[in-house]
Amino acid sequence: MPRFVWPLAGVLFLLCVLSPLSADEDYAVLFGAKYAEAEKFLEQNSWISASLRLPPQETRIALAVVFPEIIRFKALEDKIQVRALKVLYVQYGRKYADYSVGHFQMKPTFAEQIERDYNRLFSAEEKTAAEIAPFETGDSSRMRKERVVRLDDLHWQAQYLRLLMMVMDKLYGNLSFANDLEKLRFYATAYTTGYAQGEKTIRRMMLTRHFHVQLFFPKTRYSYADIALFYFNRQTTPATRAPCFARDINDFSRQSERGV
Amino acid sequence: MKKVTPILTLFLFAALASLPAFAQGPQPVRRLIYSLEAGEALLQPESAIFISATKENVILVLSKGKGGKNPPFFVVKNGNKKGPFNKLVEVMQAGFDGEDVSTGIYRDCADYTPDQSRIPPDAIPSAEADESGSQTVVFKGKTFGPYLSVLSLLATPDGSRAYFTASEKDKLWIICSDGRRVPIAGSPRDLRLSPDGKNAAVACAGSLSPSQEEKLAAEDPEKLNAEMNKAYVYTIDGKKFGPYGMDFKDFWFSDGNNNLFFLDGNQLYMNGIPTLTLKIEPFSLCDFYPSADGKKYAYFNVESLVFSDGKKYPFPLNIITFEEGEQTMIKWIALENKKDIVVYQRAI
Repeated sequence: MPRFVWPLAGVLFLLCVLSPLSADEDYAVLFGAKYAEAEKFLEQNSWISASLRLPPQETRIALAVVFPEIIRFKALEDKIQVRALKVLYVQYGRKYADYSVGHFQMKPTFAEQIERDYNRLFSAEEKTAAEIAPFETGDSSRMRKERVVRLDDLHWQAQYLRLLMMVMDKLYGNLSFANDLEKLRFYATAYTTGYAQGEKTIRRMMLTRHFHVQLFFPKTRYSYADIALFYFNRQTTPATRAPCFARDINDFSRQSERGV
Repeated sequence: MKKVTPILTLFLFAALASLPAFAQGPQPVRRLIYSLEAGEALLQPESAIFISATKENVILVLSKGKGGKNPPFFVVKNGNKKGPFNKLVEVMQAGFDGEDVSTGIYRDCADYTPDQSRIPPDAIPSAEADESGSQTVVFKGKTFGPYLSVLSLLATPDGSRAYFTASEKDKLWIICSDGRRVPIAGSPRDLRLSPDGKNAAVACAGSLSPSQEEKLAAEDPEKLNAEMNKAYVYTIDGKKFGPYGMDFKDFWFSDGNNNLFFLDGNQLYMNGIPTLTLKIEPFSLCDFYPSADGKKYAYFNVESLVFSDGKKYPFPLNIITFEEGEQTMIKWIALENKKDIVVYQRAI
């Protein structure tokens, strides 16, 4: 077998895995009713935007960062079984259980990281200005229970989103982005893969496809950042695309069995 | 005396065993079903854990690989362990007899929601619009309507009945495909169905017809506002409860309990009768399991399962309820000593 075959196969594989599904993919059609429900959720809960206390364009970026997770939540809300995982997390900690919860599908480990970084990166004056008290440090059952209760509360999820934007600004504020879209792609990827992974890893993950809306055995995976960008673009230039909710995600799941 | 003591003991035991309270009352029946071996964990894919319980059995899916998510996999069903399996799909098929569990096994909430994804394909109801803008409901080949609009539409998961709310010539209705049809009024919320599929209820804000609302909005908006702050509950059996005030919180059927519950402030009602004053803060319907008579309850609170008689049991990983005789039974699976999977059962 020629020596170049394996490297060539590797390159082709990477191209398949890393390339975006399609820059022109209409995710509103693809996710159908669930996309519409996610959009409606943000419209009906306009207090979330206000509670972020960010400039308008940063607010749009923040909402786009979590938008794909709202689609996932809407697709799975009646199927997610987190009761046992909450018990295991509260009693035994992150080694025993981690799970995604709520509209923004936040994990206890994400909340732990944000709380630690907020305590570490912000001065007392900055905390006073932000009107968010420092978090208690430690890892007791009581503190984990309080975190679980916070994560079950949409107001607290919005607060954690605000903290994410603040922490991202501290950690990656010196990075230059070509435009808001590139910044959003970076932030959205950081949210879904873990913002503490570092710039190199986040940039590497920006083109991968890991997002899906099945509970188990996903047949199709999408680029999380592409969906965030799609939502952001529709919000900033709504006239460019006519909303079309002809298909439901379940129809898509059936079609995707072809292995799209 | 030597002969009398065993007879007395036997008599006493027989007498006690015949009491329902002794059999399955406040003292739960406890049964160890499996002890995790070293390196074994309950399988935890994304936001789920594979412990499934029915009235009859318990199914556990285990992972002995890295992070509790990787092969080899095992399944424990009815006390028998099978495996190893190298693929998740294989262990799931072994555990759930090939049933498609890719979308989840069940919703772990105490308030009942009819799973619309389990309706047989030939019994999925649809609301269809015609050229005149009217809507009809089509269910198992039968057409209902036309109506001005169909507001809510649900079918029982077994596909036996469909329920919907619809407006028609200034009137509102809650309708069942079996022929029951009850007039309602005001602004209806979503429908709720009972677990056995025989009952349905809807809560409405206010009691005016659309034309009365329109008239009052023009004549006296404040009066309309006061009217719309009243809550009424209607059932498909023709019962009407209310009015309740702005403290009316929610109405629901509980999993494994076919009675209609609603909460007005802290007052719990069962089938329209006040049964309990709740002092649970914060209160979540998802975690509240009422008894068959509505006078007792169990509540899940992340750390433990708490009963209204004050008894508390730690580490409830999975909870199911079902009716047995006149009682609502609660069965829960707990993790003890970080390795023992134990099943408890008692009447609420």
